[in-house]
Amino acid sequence: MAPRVTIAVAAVIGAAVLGAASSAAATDATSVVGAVGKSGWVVAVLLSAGGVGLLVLSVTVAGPRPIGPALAMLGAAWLVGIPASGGLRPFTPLAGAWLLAVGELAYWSLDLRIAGREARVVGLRRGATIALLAGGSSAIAAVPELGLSWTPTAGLALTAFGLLAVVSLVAVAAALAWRLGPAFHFRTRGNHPPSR
Amino acid sequence: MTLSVSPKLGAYAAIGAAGLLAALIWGYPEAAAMGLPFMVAVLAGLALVQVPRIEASVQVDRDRLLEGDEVRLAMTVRSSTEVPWLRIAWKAPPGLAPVAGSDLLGVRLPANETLTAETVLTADRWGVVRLSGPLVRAHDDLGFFRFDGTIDFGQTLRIYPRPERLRRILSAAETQVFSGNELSRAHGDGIEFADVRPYVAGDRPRRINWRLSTRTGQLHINEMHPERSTDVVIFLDLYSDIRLGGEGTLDYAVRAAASLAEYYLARRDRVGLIGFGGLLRWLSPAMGSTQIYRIVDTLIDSEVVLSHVWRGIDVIPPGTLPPKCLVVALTPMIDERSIEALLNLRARRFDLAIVEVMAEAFAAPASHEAAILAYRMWRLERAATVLRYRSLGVPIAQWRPGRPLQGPLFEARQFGRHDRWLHA
Repeated sequence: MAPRVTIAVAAVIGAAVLGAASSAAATDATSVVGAVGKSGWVVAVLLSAGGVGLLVLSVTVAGPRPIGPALAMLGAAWLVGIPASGGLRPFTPLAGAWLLAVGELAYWSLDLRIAGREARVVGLRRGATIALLAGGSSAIAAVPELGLSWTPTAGLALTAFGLLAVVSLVAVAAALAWRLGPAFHFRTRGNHPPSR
Repeated sequence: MTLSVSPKLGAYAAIGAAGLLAALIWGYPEAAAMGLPFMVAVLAGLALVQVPRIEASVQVDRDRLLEGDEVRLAMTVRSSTEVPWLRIAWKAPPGLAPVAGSDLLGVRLPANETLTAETVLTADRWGVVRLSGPLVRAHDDLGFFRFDGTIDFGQTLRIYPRPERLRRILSAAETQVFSGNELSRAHGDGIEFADVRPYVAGDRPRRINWRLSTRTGQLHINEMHPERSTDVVIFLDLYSDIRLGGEGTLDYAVRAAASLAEYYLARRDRVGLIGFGGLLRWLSPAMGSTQIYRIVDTLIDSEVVLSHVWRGIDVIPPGTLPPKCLVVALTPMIDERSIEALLNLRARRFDLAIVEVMAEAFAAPASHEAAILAYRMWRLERAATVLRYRSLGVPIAQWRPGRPLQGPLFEARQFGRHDRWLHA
């Protein structure tokens, strides 16, 4: 099977697994949709099916635009499907990372639409990047779930944590402006010489 | 390079922000946990992105070629920064077609290393083609940013029409005074027997026809046809070009003009060129190998320039149409100005022959009745024009593109150069 098809199938299967887990979890009465009634799980099923459908559409014909809504629908299906406590709930950071991996695979498959020569090293590198991102982000997201004694939950420590996050964000923005400054220069319309 | 942001960045940022917002509004920390991986990806992508510093050069193995020939382009890329994902896509300019796909996709370019991408293009149509470098596209590691650039190395490729081999073509009704390969109708020094006449004082004794002189008892002299050169002017109609499926009447007319010019010049005739259209082009008749280069260089620049100005042959510079020259017109006979100009040339007693590049091959009638009727009327009008030329003693042959040019030339030749003058 061509690499593009393999990666697209992997993305769709990943999305379907997440959707199935969400739908299965939604049968629990303590879930958000469970509060609606006995047939509340249908909402999770619809969201999952819609997400998977959009993902299939994007990797086959529509291009990258529907991937964002597809991921949002799958994420929403998970959030409304998991029970109030126990069950799949502790696995939410993992589900987030899984969803990110699904999105990455879908975008990767679209990158390979153009016929040409693909270097194996790039594929390995991209796979490693996806794995690193998914693992790292799930680890970060899992910190609150672990309930460690040193994690701030209130007061000055939490405020300091928030301030640190804001400063980090500003630093990232500044670094971005510094690095992309020359590239943004070419975005302006005018008689710029052709780029070399 | 031009920077553009992938929709992926916006999608990830939106999902991450939505998760965090949902967590704040509804007090539902799982929403934050779900959105956090996307925020981490966005932040990592923003922090790690680097503008690629790409230097590229393109080498072309030749700058002149004939239709059907191949040209090899090689691009060497080097970057002072690492490029995680690089794509080099060749784009064939009009007139050239790729022979083999040689795009590079998803190639990693390490810092300070070079990468070469090659492509082979084949020349489909004559013309002057400005070569452009391939599209160079680089992505960051996470595919959030795209850097696009093209290499404009400003090289042009001159594609010459491939001449057709011709065996015999039209002869001029009258020859010039210079030696050449065309048998003159006049009598003089030559090797082809023409006539005999009584001897007069001053005739060379070696030309006495002894057999006839013995029989008649009076000296007779053999007369010969001298071999002379002719002046040929190729008249190219640049007022109209009927195109269909990437080909047009002008493509074939230019190929025919190049073939004719090459043939006539090979037999030491003087050949000139008139490109009669919105933009007038001309070359005075001359002979020699330099002239063929002048002619094909002028031909490959030929194009139809839209003009509504009524222009007659009076705009043609004096000297471009020498007396007693043969004018070979290549025309689709669409524009009235060309038709009138050729009639005017004939009225001025120029030796004219027309090769009509059949526009019917490029104009199919539509399906509805009115269009079919219009098509039939158009064809009738064209047939009437052909008859009009023939009644004036102009040999006109219809050339269906794709078939050998020799056929219509032979047909026009059958008209006979002597008949052309009888009608004039």
